[in-house]
Amino acid sequence: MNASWLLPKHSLAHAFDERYDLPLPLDFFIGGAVLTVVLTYLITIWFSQYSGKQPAQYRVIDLPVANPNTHLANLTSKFFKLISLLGMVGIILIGLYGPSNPLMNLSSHFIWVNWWVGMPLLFVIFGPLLHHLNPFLNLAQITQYLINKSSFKASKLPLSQTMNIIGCWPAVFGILCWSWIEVIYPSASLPKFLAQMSLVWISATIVGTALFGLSNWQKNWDFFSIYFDILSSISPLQFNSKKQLVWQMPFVSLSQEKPSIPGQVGFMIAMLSSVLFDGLHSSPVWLSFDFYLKKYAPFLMDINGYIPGIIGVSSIWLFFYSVFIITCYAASQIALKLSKSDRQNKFADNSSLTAFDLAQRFSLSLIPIALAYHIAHHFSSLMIQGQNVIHLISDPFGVGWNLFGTSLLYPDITLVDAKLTWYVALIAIVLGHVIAIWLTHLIALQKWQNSQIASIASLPLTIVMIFYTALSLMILAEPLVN
Amino acid sequence: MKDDLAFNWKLLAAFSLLVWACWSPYLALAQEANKKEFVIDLKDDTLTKLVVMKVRHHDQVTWKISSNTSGELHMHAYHLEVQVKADQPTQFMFNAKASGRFQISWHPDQQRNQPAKKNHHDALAYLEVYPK
Repeated sequence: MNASWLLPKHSLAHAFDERYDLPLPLDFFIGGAVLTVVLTYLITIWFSQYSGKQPAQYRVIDLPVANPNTHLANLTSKFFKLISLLGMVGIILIGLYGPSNPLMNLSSHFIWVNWWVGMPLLFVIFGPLLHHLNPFLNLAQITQYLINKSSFKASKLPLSQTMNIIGCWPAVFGILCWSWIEVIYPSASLPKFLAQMSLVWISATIVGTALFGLSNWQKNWDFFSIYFDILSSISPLQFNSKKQLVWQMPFVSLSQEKPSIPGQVGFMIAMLSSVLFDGLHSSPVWLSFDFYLKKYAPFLMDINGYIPGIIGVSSIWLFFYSVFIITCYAASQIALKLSKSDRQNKFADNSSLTAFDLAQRFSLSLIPIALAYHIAHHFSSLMIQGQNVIHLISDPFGVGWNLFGTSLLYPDITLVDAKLTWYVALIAIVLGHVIAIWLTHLIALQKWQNSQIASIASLPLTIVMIFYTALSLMILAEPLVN
Repeated sequence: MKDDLAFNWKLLAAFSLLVWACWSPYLALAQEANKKEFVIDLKDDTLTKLVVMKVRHHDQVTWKISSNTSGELHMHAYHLEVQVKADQPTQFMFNAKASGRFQISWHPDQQRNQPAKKNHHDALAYLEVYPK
């Protein structure tokens, strides 16, 4: 394979999806900050009186097409899996043989805008119903099926047995690499590069599934599947233990205790830090970072900014990870002290109050903040640049076709007003924060079974959440770097 | 009766004239406030400093462009392309129909046949269209 894609030809990092956003005005920023603090205070007060009952599953939805036990559901599932695989092949072919200009190539737009930005939002709404549309997961399942038919047994390999120790740390590394490619790597938008990266990932999926088994590959390495899986748990549509489709309150799945694996906290933090890194890179903060790095460590500077990018993405992740672990440690110590002094708290169990145990439980409460920032940061891109697929799909190879009669339907940039973008950003961030606080208190209540202990012990986490939310607002309000 | 009717019509006409006389300066001011002109003076394919043009939504924007080299001024989001000949000032008008922050690029004629540079979008200036 020609590896010349490693050498950048143009500095197009993030220039592909040119952002049309205006910075959040001061009154929006102040309003958002005030709302954040006030609502946090109100929720905290309310929870101190809360009975602590777990929100119940609402009802079972009898939808034959979604019931895995029916023939119709199996046929539908196979149909959508086939569509997703054919779509993936199509996107790769368009990337390899279509126009080299990323602005004119469907694969660049589809992968960075419609798929990476839009698909997570669909998973949030439709949940596990969309898993059939994940082509990499489908490919892994096919690989596993073929391996099962053969005599090769991945589970007997020593590698697969170490996965329980390593956990999903490989996926943490994967998502940070993906974030670096998205924000820093100049050729990230080039169609050929994207097609070749897709082929690399397909190969990794096949080899990884063969070596580690489908379950280990999906849980520990495939960061796309883990990412979509976490977001799909937000959806009000879920499957219960009897594989029935149920309707429940959105986000409540994030408060339910699930088996945790090493690296889970790192992955949640990576989800949050990667979107914030994207925003910080567009702000004057990055210029300052570049300036001081050049001044005090010029040997780290390279012409394309690769090393500063690596330092940036990893140090932001490390900072948030450290802050979160320290906060959970503080929460565990507060709860321990309060539990010991409360002789009537029969659930005061020292073994369940370690910082890492708490971090595992509370890490999911950060997801609403990450989702909120994702929406705030990408809303106008999705609404405006996302329209490009309409005209590009009619002429995917740039040869003058008009397959669907839409080749002249260029994006309407008046579809989304700057003011609407501001309101969406503000509402998303404040709502994300409120939900994160609510989840934190719910988890704390489940953990300590005492509303006063839960309220006080979760104060450090509440403060950290306010900090994350304020940072999100500040990034949106920062003037964009030219 | 006829005299009363005529008097009423005259009164109505006088009243309308008075209203128009008082209101028209405001109308004129509002129209003037919606027209914005900017000078883009390029020397050797560049500006001395990055220009940020700020207008309101639906303002009528006029660019007065001059350059010592020929090229194309391009605002991708609005699908605007203005051909500019060397040392021939050009005027271009458009309506700021969409709010947001839009990059304006300059493509010198001598570079337009080089594929690598053709795709490269260095920002010459920005147009910021603020909502009303």
